Amino acid sequence: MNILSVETSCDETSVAITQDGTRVLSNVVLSQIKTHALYGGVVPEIASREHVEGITRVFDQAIAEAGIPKEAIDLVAVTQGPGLIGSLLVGINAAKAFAYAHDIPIIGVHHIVGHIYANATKQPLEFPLLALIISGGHTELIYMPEHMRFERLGKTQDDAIGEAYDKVARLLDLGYPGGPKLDQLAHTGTPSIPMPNVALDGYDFSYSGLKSHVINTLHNLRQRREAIEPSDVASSFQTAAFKQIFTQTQKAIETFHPKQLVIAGGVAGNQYLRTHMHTVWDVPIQIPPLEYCMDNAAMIGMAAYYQWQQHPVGWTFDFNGHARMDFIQKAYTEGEEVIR
Amino acid sequence: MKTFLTIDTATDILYVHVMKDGRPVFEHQEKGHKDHAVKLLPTLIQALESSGLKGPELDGILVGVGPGSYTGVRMGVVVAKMWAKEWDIPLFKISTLALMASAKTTPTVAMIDARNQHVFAGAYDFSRPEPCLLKPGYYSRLFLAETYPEMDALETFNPNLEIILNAQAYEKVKSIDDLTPDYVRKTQAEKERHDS
Ligand SMILES: [Zn+2]
Repeated sequence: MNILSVETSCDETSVAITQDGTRVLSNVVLSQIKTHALYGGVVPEIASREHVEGITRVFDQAIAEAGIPKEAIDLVAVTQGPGLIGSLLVGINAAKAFAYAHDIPIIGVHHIVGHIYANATKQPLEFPLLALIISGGHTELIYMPEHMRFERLGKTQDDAIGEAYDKVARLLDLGYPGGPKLDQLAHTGTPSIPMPNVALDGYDFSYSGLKSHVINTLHNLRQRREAIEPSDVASSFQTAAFKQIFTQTQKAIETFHPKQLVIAGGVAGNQYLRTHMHTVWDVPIQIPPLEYCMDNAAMIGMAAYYQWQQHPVGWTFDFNGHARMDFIQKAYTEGEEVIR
Repeated sequence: MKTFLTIDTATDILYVHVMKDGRPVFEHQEKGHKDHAVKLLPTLIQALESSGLKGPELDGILVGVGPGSYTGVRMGVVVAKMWAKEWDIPLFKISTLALMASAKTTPTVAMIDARNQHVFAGAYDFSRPEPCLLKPGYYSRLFLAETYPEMDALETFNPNLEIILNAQAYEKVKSIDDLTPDYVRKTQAEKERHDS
């Protein structure tokens, strides 16, 4: 089964052709990162404008690189949400237009479900699994007893981890996107600055307290005219940020005994995480290749395949995009109507 | 161009029109409630199917490109770009203000409210061979009232596609990939960056 998938939820315009939920024939990603770097973060109106400029060329390139005729496409899948609504609607309308033009069924896919299924590009998912989604927009822990069944165990109560990374990086003048730069800088420092120990009950996360603590610490050091070693700040923040991730995920592993832990989202590329995770968690860990950690359409195509297996019915052309979308158990396995 | 589909989603009006062999056969005009995303494709499909037309049979698609930055404008433009390419048919663009002004054959200033006593506006006289008198732009209401005191001001959307067709008040899009809405104004972020 050949699937053409579209992802425009934030600042990447992406179209992919995937096959049977396992093979990626093409995955074209047009990144706007250079534009948004000028503003120190993603500007939603500019993101929408750039999607309109790039979208048809990205379609063409994805189809050309896949080397299959359009008649061989069996399904169109598009990110329905969550994300920036103006950006989502460019991809959704492009996908609908393409599907109608070629008389191909279309379905919407949840962006986070896409992130989880990005792992299917490497090897089949094994259930039950635990999925940890860490990115600029999300910090979520999800339990999956089988394909397309989701139980959200926890989420961030305020900022996403990647968002906190970007904000602290900005305080240290590291530029945008600051997450990977902060990660690099942290390796040369020591976690010598005391950080609050955030330990929430259950499986939720919280990053605003940590971020405010860094702001206050930097402010106090500057007032006392004491030298600030940015690498130590970075290292202290990073250690504390991941302590929460390690602790909450470990609790879930002990309770749910998953066959594997799947990590996805942009922060899954973090080096500190990759060095420490195997000593912290005693469970098989899957991380998709870096190109599938970031937002991309191939992951949407992977998820779409399994969604279609559960409920092989195309949606009508009146579905909307949603900036916010909750997980509802069995949503997507019963079609569009239950998703709200 | 005798058989074509017209799409305009640049304002809160969802407008879809089909001309078949030079005669209007479908018109849909509806004030939306931020639901162009829900209604656009179903309305377009209804337009084609009730007119007994398949996409590739069209001589072209005519799309309203704004001005303005109403979220809807991108949807019409994106669908028009996709279909023109996928069906391999020509794409034509027109200012939404010209569509509005085609409701009258007398000199008219068409305006879309842009807040703070400003509007996106263009002036047209469809009785002339070159109908556009003032290019679409961002103007103060005061400037327009002082400059064109004798003209009718029009803020409603009620186009006459036969007038548009007769006047050929549209432009063929040379590079479909590159077509974007006519936002006229930069985003707030771009303005602030430019000013600082
Ligand atoms: Zn994402």
